[in-house]
Amino acid sequence: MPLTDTLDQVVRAAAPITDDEVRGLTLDELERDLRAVIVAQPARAPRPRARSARRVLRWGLPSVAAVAAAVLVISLSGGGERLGTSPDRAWAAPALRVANAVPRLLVGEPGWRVIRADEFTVNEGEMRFSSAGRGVDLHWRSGSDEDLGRDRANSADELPPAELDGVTVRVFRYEGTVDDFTALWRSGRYTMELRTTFTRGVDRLTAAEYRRVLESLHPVSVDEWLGAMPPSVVLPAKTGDAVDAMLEGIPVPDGFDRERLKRDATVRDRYQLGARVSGAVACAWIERWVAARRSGDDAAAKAAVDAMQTTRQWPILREMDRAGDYPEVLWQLAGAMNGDGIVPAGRPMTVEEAYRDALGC
Amino acid sequence: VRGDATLQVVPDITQPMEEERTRRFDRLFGEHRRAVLGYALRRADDPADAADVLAETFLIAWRRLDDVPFEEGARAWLLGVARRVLANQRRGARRHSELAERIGRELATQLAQVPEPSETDMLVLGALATLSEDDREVLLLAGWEGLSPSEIAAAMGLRAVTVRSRLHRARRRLRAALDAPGPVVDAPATLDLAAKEPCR
Repeated sequence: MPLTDTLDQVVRAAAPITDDEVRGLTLDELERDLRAVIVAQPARAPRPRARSARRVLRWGLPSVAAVAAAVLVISLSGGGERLGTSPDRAWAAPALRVANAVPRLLVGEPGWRVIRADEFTVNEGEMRFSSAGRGVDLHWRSGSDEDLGRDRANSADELPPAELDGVTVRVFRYEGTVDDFTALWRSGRYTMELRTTFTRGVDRLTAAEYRRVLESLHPVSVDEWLGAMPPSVVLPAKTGDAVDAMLEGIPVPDGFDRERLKRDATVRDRYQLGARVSGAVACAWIERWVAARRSGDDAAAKAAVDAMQTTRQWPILREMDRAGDYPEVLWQLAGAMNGDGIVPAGRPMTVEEAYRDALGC
Repeated sequence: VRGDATLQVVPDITQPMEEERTRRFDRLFGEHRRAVLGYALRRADDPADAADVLAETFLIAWRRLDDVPFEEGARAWLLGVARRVLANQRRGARRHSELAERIGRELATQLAQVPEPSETDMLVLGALATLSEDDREVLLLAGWEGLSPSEIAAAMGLRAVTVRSRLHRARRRLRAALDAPGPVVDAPATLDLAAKEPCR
């Protein structure tokens, strides 16, 4: 967290007890007793790896759901054009590409709706469903579930499996909890995961409720799926216009490829799209600044610094500033470029060291 | 004599494995016990609860030692377990083991020496309390535990990109909560960056 250490330091200072104070506690004897009690407990035998390998193999076979989904996609693709020209459902081709590819699932339990879908692509994405403050996150990732299955099994107990449209779903409860569940299953080339989320002051789902939500997931049409997205989501149909609007009044370096930003088929929350657009411009300026300093081109370096000093007036950053900290990170970099090149942080870093990770260049 | 030699093969194989296992656990316990205890003490209401989290977390680590990542990944794994143990503890009846009670009593005595939070700290803690549990936890894992986004992702079972996104928002929400009208408290200079942008 190099660039936001100032706020982190405020948080750290408010810790009820510091790491140094914890290290200074005199507990060695009691900890020795605790260690002895623990190692006297029986250790769990290592899980047979072959079992999970067999599961993966079985899931690799075409499932009833995958076949059903393929049929659904085929039937919808014929109507895609009609949907695309519908006045109130103007889904562009990229959105249809994503929607046609990924498993389009919605929770069927009454009262559940999509409240968040930050960004997703054909390859991966996640969306949050919520009802009365209780929530689940649905993730999809293309590829094998082997690593995820191993990871979840490493820190969770496997419960009896569930079934979703004929597909076996592995259900886990994280060890040491009663209500922190996750479930993994295969859907075509995707690994799907449904994970409970937490909301302060709201009871989480019980095991039975979680299973009901899980088993209520059902495939829906492209239209229904895209229509279920929250209003903040920028669908690819409008990405081009949104990118142009976000870039208005922003100085971009020569050769900046704005079309690449527009070609992106990712469905994004407006905040995420803003981060991508403003980040692409800032990354381009910083890269030029770094190169100019290396080559001793003072004029080019100054042009980059001047451009970055305008970032506080970029409308998209001012809009995003109300929702998150991406602008703050960018402004810290701009400030450092205009100063000694050092970003104030717990461990001071140069702009060159920090910018790629900070902005996602 | 030959028969003895054959019999000795079994302990020769298993005993070193058990010793190695115990050695690995000891390294883990030695290196990370205070990090887990600190995590729990900063969040639990009662020192005995924190002691329970410490005991339960390392018991799970002992049982699942083969699953604990080596080197850098171990701390995030342990804090992920501690987080779930604590969440579970908050929901259920608290039954401490006798040893956890003893550790808890000792902690309570020693913690009496730790300075009380300042008025500013209380303000920050109050602002943190207004955040959702998810938002607060990503901030605290970064600020209190010093975890990187990737480590937070491992501890919370999320993708690193999701953690980065949540961190950005959580920091903004925390700033907004710190700026909300309330009792006038002198904030540290480091709070200067909060909400001073011309866009507001």
